Amino acid sequence: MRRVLRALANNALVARAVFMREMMYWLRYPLWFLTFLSFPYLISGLFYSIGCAVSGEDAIRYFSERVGTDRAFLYNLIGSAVMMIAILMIEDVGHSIRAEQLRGTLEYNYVTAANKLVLWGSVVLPHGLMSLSLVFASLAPALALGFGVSNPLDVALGLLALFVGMVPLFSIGFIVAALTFRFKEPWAVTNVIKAFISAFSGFNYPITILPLWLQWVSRALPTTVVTEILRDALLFNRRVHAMTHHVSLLAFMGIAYPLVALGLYRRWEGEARRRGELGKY
Amino acid sequence: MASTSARWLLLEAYASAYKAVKVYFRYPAWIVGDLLATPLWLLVFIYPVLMFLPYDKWRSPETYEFFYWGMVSWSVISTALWSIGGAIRSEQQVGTLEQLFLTNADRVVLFLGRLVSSSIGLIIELAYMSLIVYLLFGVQVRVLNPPLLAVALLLSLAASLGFGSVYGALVLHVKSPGAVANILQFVLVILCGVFYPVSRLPDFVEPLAYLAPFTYAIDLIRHAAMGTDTLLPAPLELAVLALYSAALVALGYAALRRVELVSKRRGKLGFY
Repeated sequence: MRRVLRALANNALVARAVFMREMMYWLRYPLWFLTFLSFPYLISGLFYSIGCAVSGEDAIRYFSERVGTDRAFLYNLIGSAVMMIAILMIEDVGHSIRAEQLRGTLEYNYVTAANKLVLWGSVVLPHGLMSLSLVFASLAPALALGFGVSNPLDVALGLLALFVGMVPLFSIGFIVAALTFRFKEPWAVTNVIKAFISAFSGFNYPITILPLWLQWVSRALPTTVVTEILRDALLFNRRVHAMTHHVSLLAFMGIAYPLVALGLYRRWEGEARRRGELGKY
Repeated sequence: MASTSARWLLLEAYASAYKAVKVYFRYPAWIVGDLLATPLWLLVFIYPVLMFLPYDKWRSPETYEFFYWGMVSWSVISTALWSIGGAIRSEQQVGTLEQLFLTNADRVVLFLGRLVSSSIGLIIELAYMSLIVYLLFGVQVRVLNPPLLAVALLLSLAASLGFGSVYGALVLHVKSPGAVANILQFVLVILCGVFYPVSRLPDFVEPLAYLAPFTYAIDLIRHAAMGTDTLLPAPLELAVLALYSAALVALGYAALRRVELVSKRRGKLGFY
């Protein structure tokens, strides 16, 4: 029992150290906060301005016919906020190992007694905390201005769904981190995964416009489910507790994605160790 | 004397380009990743905008051509923001920036290489994306005036070099390049009429668009490819773009020199 407790305490220390280190990086570049806070507004503004520039006064009417709401800016803002959180998680968690390689500190991490899974997995805590806070801070002005939000309980439940939806996103980030061991340069893989998730999660359009087979692919992405739950709660005034299908799908993804991520990580890391390629980049 | 200087400058440019191209091809996964991601990014932008359009525009080839040339123009803007700034940042990260600044090489030419590799990427993207537009939407991308398009693209890249150098100086000063670049990129995309003619912008924004160099670059690219009307007569617009590019390169050179001096005095050149 004492051994278990000591192991837990040691792992908590590792997680704390990683948390402090990553938070220091975050706070070192405060300009990034401005970028992330403005990102959903910039994306929404871009689509909105293109739409209005091309279709003029009829733009919102067309939008309403296709999407079911005339609140185009809020519709895009919610989607863009989830898109930002997805990109942040995949990029930041995925690039954590690459950053250690570039700084030449990856091998040092490996010679410590720390559990490597905890060492790399803990990266999700600071990045998750920061990206969630940034999404809240980013959406808050729009919600406070009363862009159509109904029940505060549904808002809270919608945000809880976002929190649960972070688990599969963490896992995707972790897969990218593990991929770095194999492909060395994670940017290429990250770019494809980010583009795929951004294109088919319906962040800024209803996925019903996609071909049927692609709609099924889209529904397997946690980002699609989270976006739909948030949009239903914040924009279409639907009750979160009535969306049992979406919520149970999200819960299933919260279990399945981490298991796949863990399996892939163990495989690629083991291979890199065997070949002596850990620190190569 | 002048010919010796020019020879050295060319040698520096060659070394910088050689290194950048070597790094570019060292990671074939980058190229494959780009090829796979490009059509997906195209969809990220096309689907949401289609929501605002009537159904007849969904079937119009012109809509997709606008998007195609819009994405190409976006690449030019990205090159401006990420090439020199990104090169400075990566030299800082791998710890070689101080060594580079100890040499007597020209400060703009030193980081020119990244622009060369970005241009290679742009050429691949031009060809590949037209294939993707054809396969996804059945639209054949036209180029009505290829020589003018080539000149417009070259001048756009020259403007990118100048703008990138100014931005690179900022990177050297504020250390974190991505933060400002991301915001600036969106502002430029909206302001310079990447996906629509700037004449469609609100009246109070339109004059600002005329101040941005990329407005003329994008307008010329679209005119050469699709035959759209230009903001100014085409020869005049070419001259304005050329002047803008020269001024930006001179400004970038001066800014890099100035920030380097300040960083050296404070001992913060390699900090990141």
